[in-house]
Amino acid sequence: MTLSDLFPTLQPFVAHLVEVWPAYDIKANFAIWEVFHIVSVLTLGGASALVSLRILGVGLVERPIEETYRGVSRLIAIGLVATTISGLLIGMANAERLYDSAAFLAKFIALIGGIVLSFKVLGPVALNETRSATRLWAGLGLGLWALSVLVLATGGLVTPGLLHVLSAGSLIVLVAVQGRARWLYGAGCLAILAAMSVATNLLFKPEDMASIDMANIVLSGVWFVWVLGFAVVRGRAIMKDGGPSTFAQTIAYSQILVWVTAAAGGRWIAFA
Amino acid sequence: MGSLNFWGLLEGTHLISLMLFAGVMLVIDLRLMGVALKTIPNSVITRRLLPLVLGGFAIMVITGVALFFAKPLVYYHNIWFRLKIGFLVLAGLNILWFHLVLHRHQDQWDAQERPPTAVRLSGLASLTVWLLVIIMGRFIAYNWYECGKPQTAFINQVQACATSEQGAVAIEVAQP
Repeated sequence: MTLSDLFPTLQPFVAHLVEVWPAYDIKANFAIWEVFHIVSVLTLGGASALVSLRILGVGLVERPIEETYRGVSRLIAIGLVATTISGLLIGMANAERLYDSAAFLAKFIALIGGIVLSFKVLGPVALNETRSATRLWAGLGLGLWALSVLVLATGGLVTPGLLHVLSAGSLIVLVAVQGRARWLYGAGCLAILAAMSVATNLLFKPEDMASIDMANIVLSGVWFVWVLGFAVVRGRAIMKDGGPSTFAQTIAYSQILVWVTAAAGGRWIAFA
Repeated sequence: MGSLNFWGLLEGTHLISLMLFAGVMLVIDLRLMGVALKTIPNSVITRRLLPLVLGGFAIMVITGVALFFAKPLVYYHNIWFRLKIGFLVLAGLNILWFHLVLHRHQDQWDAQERPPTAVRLSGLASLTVWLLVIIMGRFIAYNWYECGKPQTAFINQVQACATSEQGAVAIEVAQP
């Protein structure tokens, strides 16, 4: 699914965008604006990930969650504004290509979902000020993230980009899980990756793409269940110790992964 | 994970590990500069966040080395790649300076909201050098100064184009 599938009548407008100021100026210096966008995303991603990881019992655990959030909230706001502005500007300068890209649509939806989760939900969750409006915003943010994952999953050549989301999720769980469970979990992840490698390189011939695809889909599903299972077990342990609720933990995971989805979508624009 | 998508997966993982590494490093540097997380002592930040930074860095190096070996000669003769390695060395020297000189007196400034000038400068240097590493890394994808294209002797020299497959092509200077 692409923007051109959803809004085919916009084609002339999109084709004209690059002739509008500031798009032609940005196109001439595209690399610099691209770097500005990457730095904005990593500012936002890094600052908000610290809060989310703290909710999951990782990082600045000696300090209250509120203190971590207050310490980086300005960075989150600056990152959000810079990401949105730079994203819109480089999008304008490259509009025709993005209009036909499933990876861009996934990135665009994830970006909006990420803004909702980082700006309207993470703060109240970190400050323990969750109200019904927060839950409504959370529903919207999570829905948009799910939609972006769906676009990526059904996007044909860009679908492998989903592996970034899965591997990022598995790494978050790896740092969140503690004790012997971490070794078991890590060994399971490595075994699944080894099985993927064997299936794609040894078990099936390179031209048998249908079988390779099926093996990757099945093993990715197994990996997802493995990661989710350990996340749930760890989540229960956190709550047992008087830590954040299931809702707060869900927001913490999704708030990081929505930005990973946006970054993965952004990178896969160049590949397919 | 066939070779069809392996390049994309490697490069994407390189970018996402950069988000983890540089995103958290940025916060550590801003704390050293007295800008973010001012109420939390530097030692707590370093102790708790450095493992995340090192984890991100390890993935970044592994994927970066794998990407390099996919096109070693292209990168070897690329001015941006050479600059990136140069800035990585500078970043390493800054880390050494911090640990050998500034870190020894950390108990004196650890909890200060605004650390001494030398510490703030070290944070600023780290932030600047890592930003330059990122910028150079992104510019590698652009072939502005590819060997074989007509360009100045300086660029040909810096990229060692004479030893590349495409060779060094000097830019023609108009005769008066």
